[in-house]
Amino acid sequence: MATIQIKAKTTKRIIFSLIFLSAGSLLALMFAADNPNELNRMQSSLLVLNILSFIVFLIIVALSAKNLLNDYRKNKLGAKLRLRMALAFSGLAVIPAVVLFFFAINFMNKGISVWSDADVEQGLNNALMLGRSALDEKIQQGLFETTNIALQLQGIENIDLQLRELVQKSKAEQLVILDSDIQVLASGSDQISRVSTRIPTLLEIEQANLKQSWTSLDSSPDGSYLIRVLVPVLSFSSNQKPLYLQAFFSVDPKLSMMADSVEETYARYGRLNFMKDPIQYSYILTLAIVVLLALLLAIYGSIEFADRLVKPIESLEKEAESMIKNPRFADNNNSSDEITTLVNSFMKAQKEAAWSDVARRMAHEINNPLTPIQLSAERIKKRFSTSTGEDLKFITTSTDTIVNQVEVLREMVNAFGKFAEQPKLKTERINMSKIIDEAIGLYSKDHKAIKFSSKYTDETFIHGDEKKLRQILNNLLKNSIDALANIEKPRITVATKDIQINKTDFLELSIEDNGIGFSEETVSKAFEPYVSTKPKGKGLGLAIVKNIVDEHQGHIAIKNNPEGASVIITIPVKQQKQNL
Amino acid sequence: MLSFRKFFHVSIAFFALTSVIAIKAEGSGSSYIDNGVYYSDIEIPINFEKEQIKALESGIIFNLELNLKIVDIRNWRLDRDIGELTQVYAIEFNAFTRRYTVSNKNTGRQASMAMIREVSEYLSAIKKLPLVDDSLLDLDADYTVILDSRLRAQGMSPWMKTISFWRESLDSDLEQIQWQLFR
Repeated sequence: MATIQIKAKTTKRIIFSLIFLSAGSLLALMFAADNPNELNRMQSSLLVLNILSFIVFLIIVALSAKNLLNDYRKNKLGAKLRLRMALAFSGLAVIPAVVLFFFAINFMNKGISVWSDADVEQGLNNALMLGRSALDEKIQQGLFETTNIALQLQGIENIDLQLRELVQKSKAEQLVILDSDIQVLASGSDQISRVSTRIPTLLEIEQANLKQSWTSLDSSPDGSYLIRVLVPVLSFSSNQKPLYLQAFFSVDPKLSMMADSVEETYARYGRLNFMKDPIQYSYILTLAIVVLLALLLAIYGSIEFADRLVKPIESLEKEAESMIKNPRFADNNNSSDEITTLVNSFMKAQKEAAWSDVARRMAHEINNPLTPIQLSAERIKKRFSTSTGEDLKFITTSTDTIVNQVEVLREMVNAFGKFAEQPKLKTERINMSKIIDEAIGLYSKDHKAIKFSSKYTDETFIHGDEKKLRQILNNLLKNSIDALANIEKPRITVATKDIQINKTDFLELSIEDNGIGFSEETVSKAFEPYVSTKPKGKGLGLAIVKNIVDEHQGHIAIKNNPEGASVIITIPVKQQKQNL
Repeated sequence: MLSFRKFFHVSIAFFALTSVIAIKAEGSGSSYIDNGVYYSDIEIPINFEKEQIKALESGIIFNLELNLKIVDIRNWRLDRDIGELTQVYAIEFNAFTRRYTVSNKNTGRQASMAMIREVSEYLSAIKKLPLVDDSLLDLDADYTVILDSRLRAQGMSPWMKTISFWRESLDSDLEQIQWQLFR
């Protein structure tokens, strides 16, 4: 049993650790997924962690479900109810979670599909075309100017000097003369650092040869744009390799900036569009893991909850079995949940019903032979009344003893009978002050050593059964008087107080003495029949009082004071209609 | 009906052709000394897959990483690493200019190309790559240059690449090339 408890504790620790771990990693995953362009590097490991949590959870849930099914197959007590409850609770959790999952996926897919909206793509393409069209004129101007420069370069020997002069005269940033092997022969430049690295490819040279010109729009690492023009230059001699002039023209910085902005937006849109499907699958997987983890947790919780809920019912059955074996089975359940309270009340009711039945049978069985015994004893006494001396004395003493003991037995039988009586209240409006006064008056005459006192308002009226309320006072005063034997300065105080509980008027009646009080053991069982600390007590006094208080829909409690004990009774001032 | 002899000849021709393609597809490298510095000319067959071109045109930048290692290969003993050089080329497509730009991240040199074929050709033949200073090498050692090349898509986490399992991989590792660093 100890091993099982340790295992259960370990399982709970694992589950709580997994819950915290999964919650943490899911939160991290949520924040990681905020940037769909470059999902966080930790995403893979976080997902793996969650998948591992899911697997461990799955194993734990499978084991719990297997135990439950085993109990069900073995027809163990409460297993059927546990299974039904677990299925019901799990169903309640699973159905909304699955519905929510599919709706969430649907909305998410719709949200992501907006990225690849055809109108957006067309708009961006148009923006790019517009930008390029705006630069077409500049490109044509550059081509015109480069062709003119190439014509001017024909036959000139000091080409480097000429190039520098032409750069200053023209709008070109750089002019370069290359041969067909792409070897730079001469260069004239204003901003060498920005454009010096741009060399035409062989294909571009071929194109320039074929079409007599070649133009391109190039981007720079700083986000600006350059117009590049390549034109053939007539060779100085027929043996010389073909020569080409490459010219660079800058684009207006404002236009460059706008073009770069459009290009960047287009590229971002393109990247998002390209990664749309993987992002979508990633979100679905994350959501699925979250939902599955939540579902497993809900199923595990359902099994545990059903187990806890059914446990008191199992203990009810066990207690009932124990009670069959031992009617005075101790009530050790200190749990305070509703089911336990209900079970305890049920157990108490069963016990009381059992005691009532016993009392009724005893009263019936014992009462029947008592009258013949008493009559026989009286006949014997009468028959032998003519005897003399020792015989007469013996006969008289013996028959008197029989008659007296029969009376004691009858009293006991009557007491049992009263305990077993069904609640039949004869309620009327009664003055409790008067009843208390009369009860105190009755007992104070016979117990002058005890100081009786009372605290109440002059007229305290309640609706109740006068005879039964008198019995309450008599029983409680008798108990107090018995508890005050051998006590110095004995005293009994009877007090009443008007109180309100849930807007209902109650009368609180308390009887307090400075006697020996209740033992710890008696306090918990004081209202059960046959429980008494008195040597000759029947143990029915407080049980009868409890019955009467219950009939009046009241409440009774006992407690030990620093000196003596108190019994506190609360009875509604007006009885409910069904009891009137 | 195809006769056995014809089938045999066609098969031989097919194998010969595919063998030529295979030989042509293999990379090569050579080194030479110039003013006390060893340079390398490298030829690596770089062919962009359809998915890679699509990714490039969608704005994803690719890096071609060339990792060159000079190793002293010794008999019966562990090889000795002399030096290592990593050369990175970034390839990107500009939607506005409709051109590809190849940037050498080590030198900052840029080249602009209109077609992906040009990019492949440009990167497949790398000339005069400075490798190692002659003074760092032993006279009697036998050095080998080992080149590992790989193409990697940037801006995509490993997770995003993993979850894109249904399409061709954006990353590719090229065949390792080795050659002697002749002195």
